[in-house]
Amino acid sequence: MATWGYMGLQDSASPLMEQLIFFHDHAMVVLILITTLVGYMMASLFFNSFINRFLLENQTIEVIWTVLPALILIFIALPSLRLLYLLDEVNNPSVTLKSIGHQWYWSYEYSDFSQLEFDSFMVPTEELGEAGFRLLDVDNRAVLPFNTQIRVLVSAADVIHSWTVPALGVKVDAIPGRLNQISFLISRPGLFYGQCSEICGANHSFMPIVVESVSVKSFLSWVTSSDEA
Amino acid sequence: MLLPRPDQPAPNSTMSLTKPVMRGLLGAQIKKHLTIAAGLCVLTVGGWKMLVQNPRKQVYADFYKDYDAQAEFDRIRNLGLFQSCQPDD
Repeated sequence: MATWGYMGLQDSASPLMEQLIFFHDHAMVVLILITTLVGYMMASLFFNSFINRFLLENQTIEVIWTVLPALILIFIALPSLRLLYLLDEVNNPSVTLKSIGHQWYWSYEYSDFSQLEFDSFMVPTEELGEAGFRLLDVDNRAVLPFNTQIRVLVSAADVIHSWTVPALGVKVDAIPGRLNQISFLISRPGLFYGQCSEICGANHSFMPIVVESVSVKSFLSWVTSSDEA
Repeated sequence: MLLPRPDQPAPNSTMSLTKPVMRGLLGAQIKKHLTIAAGLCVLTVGGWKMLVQNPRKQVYADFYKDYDAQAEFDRIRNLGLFQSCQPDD
């Protein structure tokens, strides 16, 4: 999860998020190259003593500063498109979770095995325990199994929300009247936090998401016992 | 100091002004600065790749090489951090 003062992307808990992090590092190579080049050119102007009053146009430099950016963009576009198509693949998910955004909480439905539904509200700061995370903890977490292909269907009941878990590389808009699908796999157990990412009213900042990643066996017994309850 | 007379050649002098470079200034400047800029770019990009990009890939590879997800799950569960399952004791 994000802690204060942290500047980078969160550690990944999903193969797709790993690829996103590596792509970000690749894009940074290009940005650092451009910044260094342009920064040095600007700095060298401070020490320039030449003047050319008749400088008007030059075909060579026009060709250079058209072709070079085009080449740089190709270097960014190719890995970007590869990742874009990778993110869109659906790989026979074993578990489907429906996540519905409301003002101002999420509700989850597990329809695969039984009709398990519950709401997930943020824990108010006054009721938070000593080990709780302010504005991030919820009363009922979305429990999902690790090392299993998961599909999440996201929608909303009132206004537009967005279901986000940065560690899993997931951000899906929840739009009333529309079902958006996202597919991912969680690589490791743990708790992964996110926050609503589409302005939805007064308590937009107070409807977080917590995914609890557990073993398949644990997940199945939880689903069974929750349904019985 | 004797001034040279117009009908006599000037005495030999050991100092003379070198002719300043009058042409090709832009080209020379471009070559010099482009070389320095290219060198700086190689340094910064190489530094990013060697100090950030490659180590990060290695960290992820090392983390998952011998990762036992089930053992990690049991460890977190026994710390009482999960809602859906209880610790062993």
